[in-house]
Amino acid sequence: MRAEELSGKADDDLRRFKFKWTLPRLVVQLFSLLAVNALVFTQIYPYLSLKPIPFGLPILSSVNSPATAIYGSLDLIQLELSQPEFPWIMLGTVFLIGAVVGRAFCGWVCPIGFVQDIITTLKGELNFVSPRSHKTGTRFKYLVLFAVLLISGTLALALYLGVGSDYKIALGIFATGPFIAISPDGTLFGTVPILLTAARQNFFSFLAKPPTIQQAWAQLTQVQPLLALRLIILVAFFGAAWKVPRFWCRYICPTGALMAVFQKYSFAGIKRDPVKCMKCPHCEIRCPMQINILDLPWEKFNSAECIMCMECVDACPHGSLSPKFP
Amino acid sequence: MKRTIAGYTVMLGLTALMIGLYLGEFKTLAEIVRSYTFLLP
Repeated sequence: MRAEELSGKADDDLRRFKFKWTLPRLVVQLFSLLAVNALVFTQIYPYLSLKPIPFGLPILSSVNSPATAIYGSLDLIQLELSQPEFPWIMLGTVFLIGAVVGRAFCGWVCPIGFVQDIITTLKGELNFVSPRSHKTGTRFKYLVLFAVLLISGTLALALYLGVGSDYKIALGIFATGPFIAISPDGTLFGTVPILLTAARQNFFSFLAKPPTIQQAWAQLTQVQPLLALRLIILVAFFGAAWKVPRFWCRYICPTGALMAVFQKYSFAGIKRDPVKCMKCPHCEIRCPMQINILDLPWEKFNSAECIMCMECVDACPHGSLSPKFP
Repeated sequence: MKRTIAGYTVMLGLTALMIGLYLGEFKTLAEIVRSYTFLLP
């Protein structure tokens, strides 16, 4: 074989090799899941002395879980406002991370996002929502964020002015954090493991002496309404994630809404090479957030919904998409 | 234009962080983390 042919073959091989983001993202998500819930290791190895970090990241990570080592920014913002303290550090963190990487933490770090990704992978296909419903749905999360900040903000103001004690009593458990009380991450990583541990302890006594229907009904009616609501939300979360990929991130998550505000103007983005792009819909089909990538500007796009998961970059058969920073 | 906005956002974030550090907000956060873990069943 001649030297020119060999050189040409090497060039072809180089062109054929394309870096895939799927594996690095999976590794980061797995590591983040373990790091965020690192206190679970103290249950397995009691001699370990781990404590939660007094700092938050823009992810869903609940204070309600005894395993959480790194809390979510919005949880800490709500808790600080209920003190009442102005959350300077948490807002600074959100601004900083939002401006630099936008919603990348939703796609790479958030444990709830990872759980939804696993569900979508198990299902093996992506369902599409009608554009009209999708557009309306994406606005809903801003409403959730507004409601959370409205309740926490007015409570903080009332407490600061010294007139909020009645308001705080009226809000009850929602005073410490309106969204913390119902968020599925706390239920999934906090409540469910505890319920399962209790169920395991009582399993054999249950088998030895099964309760009658009346006894079972009496026990069911003793379940706290808030616990029942949390479990219903968790079941709905799983059902929705099965039906629509990243349903929670798209339509409900207030942390996602908070970061989406910054995503539009963040340094991180994706560019589309108009010469290589054949306008085939591979990138749009693979996008878990259902973004109309081909309608966005090619120089650099920062859709508010983009979680920088790089699925579109991997999906493009022509290699026309690539991350761009800044 | 977008990069300018992102730049100003970074500056705002850093300023907020500095104010928080100056006011000793980490003590509040540490207290919250210590006392508010596991609120619900």
